Parts: sequence; structure tokens; C-alpha cells
Amino acid sequence: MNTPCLSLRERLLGLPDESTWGAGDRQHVERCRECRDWLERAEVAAEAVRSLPRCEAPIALVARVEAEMERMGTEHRLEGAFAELTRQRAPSLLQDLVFDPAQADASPLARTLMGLHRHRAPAVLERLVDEELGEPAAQRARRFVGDLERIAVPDELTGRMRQVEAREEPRRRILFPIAALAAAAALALWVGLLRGEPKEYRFEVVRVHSVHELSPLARHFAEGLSGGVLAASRSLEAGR
Amino acid sequence: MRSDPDVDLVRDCQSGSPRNLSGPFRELYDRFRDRVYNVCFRITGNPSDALDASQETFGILFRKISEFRFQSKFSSWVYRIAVNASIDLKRRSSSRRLASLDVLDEPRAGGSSRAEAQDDGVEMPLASVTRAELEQEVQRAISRLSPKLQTVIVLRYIESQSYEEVSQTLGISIGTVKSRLARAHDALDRELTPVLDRHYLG
Repeated sequence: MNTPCLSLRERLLGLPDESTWGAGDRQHVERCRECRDWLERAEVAAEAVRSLPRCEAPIALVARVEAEMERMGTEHRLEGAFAELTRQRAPSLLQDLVFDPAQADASPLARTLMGLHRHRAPAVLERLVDEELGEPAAQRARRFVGDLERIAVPDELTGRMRQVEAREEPRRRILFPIAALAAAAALALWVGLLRGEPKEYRFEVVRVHSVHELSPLARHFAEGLSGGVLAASRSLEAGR
Repeated sequence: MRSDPDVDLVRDCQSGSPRNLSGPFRELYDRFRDRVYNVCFRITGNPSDALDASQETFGILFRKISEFRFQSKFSSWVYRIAVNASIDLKRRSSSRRLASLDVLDEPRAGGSSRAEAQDDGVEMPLASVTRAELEQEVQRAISRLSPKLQTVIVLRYIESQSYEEVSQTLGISIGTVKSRLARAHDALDRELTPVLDRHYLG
């Protein structure tokens, strides 16, 4: 449909009848069969809608509106009652305690209250409020997850860990001292090689079956070299 | 607004408080009840929803009448409240009504097939659509329009408002009123032409 037809139809729909049409409108309608048909059908449809019977408001509506007004009256009365309530003044004691500490006779409690540090809202609060307003659902979900109860370690896991520990224990007891001694020997050899000067070292070889049999000096040396592993191994043994 | 016939009555209402339906409030109710109910009925399409929407309209009307500033005709304001209440209610109860319409449709389909069987046997006049049925068809066609088009049709043809009044009631330009009315006619044309042809041409 072209624009002249559309605008003509919109304009003529608003006019009461054909007698109020302009000459140009009349010519267009006479020439344009589509517009003529459309306007005829529109008039028939408009007449069909106009001829729908007017309904009278049912009796029930009065009762409903009266009930509604009764409710409004109650609301008004409540509002009035609240408005008429007398405003209570704060007792003078409160004034003495909180608002007027500068007085010479301010109580110790008032001075304490005034001395309390007044906290400022942290800067992060602004960002949190922004996020809350931006994505309320996501923020709610995040808070919900944060509030979830932490679940205790099940007994079965503790049992399994004990089993693993028991399996590892003999290996640790044997391998750690050997590794420590080997490391100490390797270090001593390396230091000796770095010096480059042939020196004679006097070693005393002592065979032991346990770390405890080492002299305190040698034991501390071995512990230092092993990074505390020997000490840990010893405390475990002591605990058992 | 001097040309508004409701100004004095509205001022009377504004000077009192809406405690019960008496005095100026009763007069205002009597003046608008049928207009409000008709608009609500034609937009919602059924008496029950029309009653709810009318009640809501008068509730809002009496609660907010003190805020009316006479910047438009009072009746336009009333119509606008009625239109909005009806559209809101129609949206809210659309699912409920769809379910009930399904139930209503079933016997109608059965009745129609019985009528056709009779037509085969007895030569009935072709113009078998009664006046009441035509009214139902027209109301159904209005109900099938979108709320915007429905509102323009109801205000223009049921309430006989001019383009200017429709524009004021709905708060839209006259150009928009014209284009909505033309679109409403296109839609009504599709819905009603077969029915009207059957009714008027036989």
C-alpha cells in the first residue's frame, strides 16, 4: 500500500461522514478501488463495533466499591491515629550520657562512649553495593555459597591416611638417615675438591645403627644437612 | 479547564476524604460507573474480569482524586485508569482465561456440528448468524487485538471519543491514534469480514 493511500485512510477514518471529505479525498477514493473497498469495510466494522450493546454496571459493583472505600476509610483512620500519637522526647539522662560530654560533670560512661572510635564505611562497600545492584541474582548466589556449611573430614579418609603413613614409615626411618649421611659426605668431598690444596683429613669412621647413636655434634650436623628431616623423624618416634 | 463538566464535582470530592460511597463520591460513581464498566468489559472481554477491573478503577480513582491537577479532562483521566486496570488484569489472568476458554470451546464445537447436520436436512436461511452471535463474534475480534489497538477501538467506537480525546486519554499523539486505528481496522477486517458477509449478505 502506498503512502498517500495510507495517510488518506487514516485521515478519513477520523471524519464523521463523507460529507466532510475534501474534494481531493473524494477524487482519490473514486479513482482508487482499494481505498474505496477498505473504507467501506472499515465503516461496516466500525458500525458493528458501535452497535455493540452498552452494558450497565452490575449491582455488585456498588457493593465492591463501597467495601473498597471502607478499606480506604480504615487506612485513613489508622494514618490519622498514627499521626496523632505524641512524640516522646528523649530523656535528659540520654542527653547527659551521649550528646553533651563536654560538660564538666559528664559521666565516665558518656566520656567512654564519646571516646569510641567512629568507623567509616570501608571503600569496598561502594563496590559491593554497585555489584549488588548490577547483578543481584549473582551476588545472592555468591553469598549463599559462602554460607554453606563446611563438611568435616570423613573417618574413612583419616583411616586411609593412617594406612599410607604406616606404609611410608619404615622407608622413612631407614632412607632418611642414609640420605643425610650421604649428603654430608658428598658435601665434605665437594668442599675439599674446591679448595684444590691437597690436605690430609683425618676421619674417624663410626658405624651406627641409629641416629641416636651418633655423637650430639654429628647428629646436629646431620640434621642440618637433611633440612630437619631427621629431627622430624625423631619426634615422630618419640610421639609413638 | 472550563469545558470540563466534572470540575465542580471533582473539587467537591477533593475537599473531602473518601470514607464511604456517599455525597460527591456517590455522584461521581453514578456518573462514571457505566462508562468505566463498558470500557473494562470490552477490553477484558468477560463480565467477571470487567467487574474486578471496574472495582480497581474506582479504588484508584477515589484514592488518587486529590492528586488530580485538572491538566486534562477528568473523564480522560478516568478512562486512562480504566484502560490500564483492564489491560493489567487481562495480562494477569490470561493463563486462567486460556484454560477456561478451552473448556468453553468444546461444547461450542459440538453445537456447531449439530447445526450443520440440521442444515443438511432442512433448508435453513443462509443468514443463520443471529444478532447475539454477531455481537459475540465482534467482541471476540476485539479481544484478539493487541491491547493498544483494542484500546483505540473501544475508546473511538464504543465511547465515541474524538481523535483528540483518545490522544489525551492514552497520552499519545494524534498521529499515533490515527495509525493505530488504521491498523486496528486492518486486523478487524481480517477477523470480521467473513462474519459480517455471512450476517449481512446471507
